[in-house]
Amino acid sequence: MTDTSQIVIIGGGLAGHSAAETLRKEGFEGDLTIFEAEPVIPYDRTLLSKAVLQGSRSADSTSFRSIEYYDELRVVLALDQTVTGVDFRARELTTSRGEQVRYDKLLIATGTTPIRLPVPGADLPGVHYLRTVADAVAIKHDLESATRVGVIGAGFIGAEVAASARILGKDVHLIDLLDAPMAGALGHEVGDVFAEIHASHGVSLRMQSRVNELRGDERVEAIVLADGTEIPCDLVVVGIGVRPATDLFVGTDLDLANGVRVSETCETNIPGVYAAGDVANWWHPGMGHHIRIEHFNNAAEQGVAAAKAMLGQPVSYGPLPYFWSDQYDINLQHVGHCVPGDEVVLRRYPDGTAMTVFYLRDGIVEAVAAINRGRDIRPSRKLIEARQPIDRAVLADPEQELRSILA
Amino acid sequence: MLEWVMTDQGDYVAVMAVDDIKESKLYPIEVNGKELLLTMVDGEVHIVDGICTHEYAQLWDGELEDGTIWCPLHSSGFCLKTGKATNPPAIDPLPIYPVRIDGGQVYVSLTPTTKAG
Repeated sequence: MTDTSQIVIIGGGLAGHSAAETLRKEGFEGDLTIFEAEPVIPYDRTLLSKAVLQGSRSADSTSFRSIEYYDELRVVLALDQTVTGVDFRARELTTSRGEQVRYDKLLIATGTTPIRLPVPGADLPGVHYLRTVADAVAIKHDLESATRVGVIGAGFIGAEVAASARILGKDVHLIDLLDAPMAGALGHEVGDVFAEIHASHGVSLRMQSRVNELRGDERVEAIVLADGTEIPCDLVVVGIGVRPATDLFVGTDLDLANGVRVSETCETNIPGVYAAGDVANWWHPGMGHHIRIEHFNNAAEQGVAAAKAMLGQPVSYGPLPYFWSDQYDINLQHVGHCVPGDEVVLRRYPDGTAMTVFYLRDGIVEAVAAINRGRDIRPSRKLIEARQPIDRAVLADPEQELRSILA
Repeated sequence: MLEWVMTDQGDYVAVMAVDDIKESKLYPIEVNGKELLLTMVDGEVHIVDGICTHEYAQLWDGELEDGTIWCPLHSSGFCLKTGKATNPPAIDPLPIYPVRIDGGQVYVSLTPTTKAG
């Protein structure tokens, strides 16, 4: 029997890739098309801020799979094309090429868009954002002639870009409103550790600083802080966060709230329409609230979950969130979901830089960050899943094997 | 020590004495310049590629749990028996290598039964 149904995926990032792959693996035989605004096949975006900027990977060797792989899967990659209009009632899309595309089921995997720096001079040449391959290529190009790099925003992207620029020998200023790098996501304890790491690698940290203006004639030449300090630079990378890419759906019936709101099975309020990845604000069954996650593993796994739902095999999607960041020779891994106000217990290992940080709420371990201590991640998952009060002194003691704590 | 001579073992190479292997411990071994990982689960010896297929990381610094090797760098998971990447960020399988036990010695073939990609 020939399947004449059509599935369209908007967005060829990891969530779109993983959904397409799953749809075929699970037996979907109809037409399958991915619309992607970038002119490149699905690739590993996490490489851009690190390996690509540092030059250990070229921008065109970041794809997950070869183009032939998608041919074999009969996945049409409509690259360098955006969806410009959507009619949910007619189940029809309009594309940037003016074509009308019918769908039976639609997956929204549009990801996020960098938030623009709202100050004068932010549109000067030499001011960059990092989201796409083209962004990374442009930064890499400008880095070659730059000696002084200003990084505005010390979240994951900013901190990784700062590290990459230092590895390339540039003078780096890292600027943030908060008091430490990544403090917004991980709290000031981990933030302080990373402040020290960046300082020891020669980054000039300008924390608790607001940028008032970017100055320059033809190109950016300086960052001006609110206190009047002028930081000369040849290149600026802005990483002040992202917002879900939902412009296309504004004014439609689609339920938008911090992204596209979906159920625990990735379904939106519109029948036949699903969302996954960075754009999806989904009901997490374990946490009992909506959550939106901008990390690799979620895009990979939620793409799978959405594909299954699209094929009528919905699964309740409730993973323990996980992400990593690599800066210099420091590996950070985080499992669970910490929030501001969590009690923090530090476990410092006597050797080198290794440290594991536990985030507790009402005495229960809710999240764990491991710094150069990856082997603590598996046992930490079990600690979080156990939902038992655990003696803080035991958590803090590096002599106590994490694996034995629950035994 | 008497070196047991293989006559019909193809490209199998002796790597370790079975008696020296402790259950569930991860051993780095090097064979012809390749970094491999040897471990024993329920008395069965497994030899897999020692380097994660996602980014360079030595898997013997990781964790073994329920028949899965967990990478220490980004927590990718690989099934010890099939090499399948069971947990992201890795997507390519881990090459696994045929093992033979003979005369108390573990032998490995460098022709993997799974290939990356």
